[in-house]
Amino acid sequence: MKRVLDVFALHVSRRSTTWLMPLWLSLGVVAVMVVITFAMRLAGVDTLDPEIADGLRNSQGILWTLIGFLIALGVQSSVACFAFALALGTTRRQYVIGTGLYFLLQTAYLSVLLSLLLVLEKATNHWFMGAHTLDVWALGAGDWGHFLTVVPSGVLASLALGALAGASWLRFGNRGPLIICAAFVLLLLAAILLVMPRLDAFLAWFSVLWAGVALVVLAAASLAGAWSFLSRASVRNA
Amino acid sequence: MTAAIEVHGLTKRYGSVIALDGVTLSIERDSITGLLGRNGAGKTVLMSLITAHETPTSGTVRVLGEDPRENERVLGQTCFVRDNQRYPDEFRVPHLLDTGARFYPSWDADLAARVVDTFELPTDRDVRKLSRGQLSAVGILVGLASRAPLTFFDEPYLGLDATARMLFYDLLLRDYIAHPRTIVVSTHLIDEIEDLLSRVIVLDHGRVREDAGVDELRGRALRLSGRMDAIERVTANHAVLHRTSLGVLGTAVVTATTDLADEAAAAGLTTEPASLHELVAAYGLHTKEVSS
Repeated sequence: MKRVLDVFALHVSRRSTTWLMPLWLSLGVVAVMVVITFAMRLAGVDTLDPEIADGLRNSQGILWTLIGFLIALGVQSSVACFAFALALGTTRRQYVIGTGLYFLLQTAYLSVLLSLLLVLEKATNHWFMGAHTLDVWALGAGDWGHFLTVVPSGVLASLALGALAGASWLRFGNRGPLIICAAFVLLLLAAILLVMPRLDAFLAWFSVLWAGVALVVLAAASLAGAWSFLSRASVRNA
Repeated sequence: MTAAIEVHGLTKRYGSVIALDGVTLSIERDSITGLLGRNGAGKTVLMSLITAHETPTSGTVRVLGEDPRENERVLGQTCFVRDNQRYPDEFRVPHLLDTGARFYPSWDADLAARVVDTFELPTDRDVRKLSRGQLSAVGILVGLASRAPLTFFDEPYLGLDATARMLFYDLLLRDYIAHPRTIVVSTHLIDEIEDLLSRVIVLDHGRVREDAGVDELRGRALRLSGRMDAIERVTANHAVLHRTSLGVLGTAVVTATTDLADEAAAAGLTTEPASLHELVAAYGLHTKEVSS
């Protein structure tokens, strides 16, 4: 167990990536939304109007910015520390578990960070001008149950998917991530083909809880895949 | 003495390339072993297989009596610093000092500080931005200060100047005497390090060409020098590993036999034991001649 915690600490010691990057990115998206909303107000749009506000809730800036960052962080975490941890006599199993713990820390950190930003956003009537960054439809439009289901599961799934892609690169070279992407697209297409003919029934049945469960299952499957790839990956490719 | 590492029939293939071909050897506990051979001979691959960084195609590896693969008890006692060792982003020397102390109960913080001081390692720059020589010094820092019972250095001198290399050998020897452990060093700078080695393994095209004590290996070949015609005559029935000539004069590195020294002396040739460096270099050349 000690080595697992050593690997965890190895990841955490990258302080800028662990603590500062998510903070700056989140604040950056808020700042961009504030500037855009301010520009709209200058153009004469009343962004505090309930109808306009509903439109602004379609913003997905925070979603895609963080998904991109988290997948990259997942790739980096599975690749960047792998060679060094193994040089110091770590087993691959210890490395994967330690990295998984690090992902849980990132999940908790981002959930708290984004929750605080949502509290601030709501308390300031959306940054004093109706700028919607976190109070958006994709994150539940201010509904805490939705928000606290989607954010942690989404963060964990993004990190784990990144780890899977990184591990596949270590194991199979450039072909690895290509195959992972292709498999992911095929999976999405199959899901669409399956759902579309019975969309109404699906929407009636679907709840945000199921989205959370699906994301957690995706995270677990991705981590299991990453473990499978890393258990056979050559350190010389890292 | 007991074996720290035992390897039997070890083969590693990468597609059609055979990196190691049926290697069988053992490395004694608490010894410094030199792993010698030309580029591509299989030195790094052998160390990678011993430390479970790679999976063998066939054959067995036993480290401290156990299979090292996913073996926490065994791997926790190893440290393998590669010549192109990668370090995490953002890492600076102070991060390495913290990490080393965390991973190894035997980590010597004083020794680590001495290495930083000796090699004048910058503490305020990312490790990834250091020069080739400084990166080698970082590898030396990790390998030495870890005091891992099984330490592997893969060409640890790359980019180091002559003074820095001497400092490394000095640090290695002093620390080894104070804290004996099993150290394996792959190197091309045989002359510089041979006095530190107790045993030498010479790899050639993935096979073990020699596995012997340094003193034993030093007596394995003789260097004859003098007139070329006398050299040709004396070596006619001996295994010549390497020959050079300049006009009528020349030298030859010849596998030693009981009669060779006497025959050479009778022919007026000067005879000296071939150095380890000459012997290993001659093996490489000899193999090329044979294979071409």
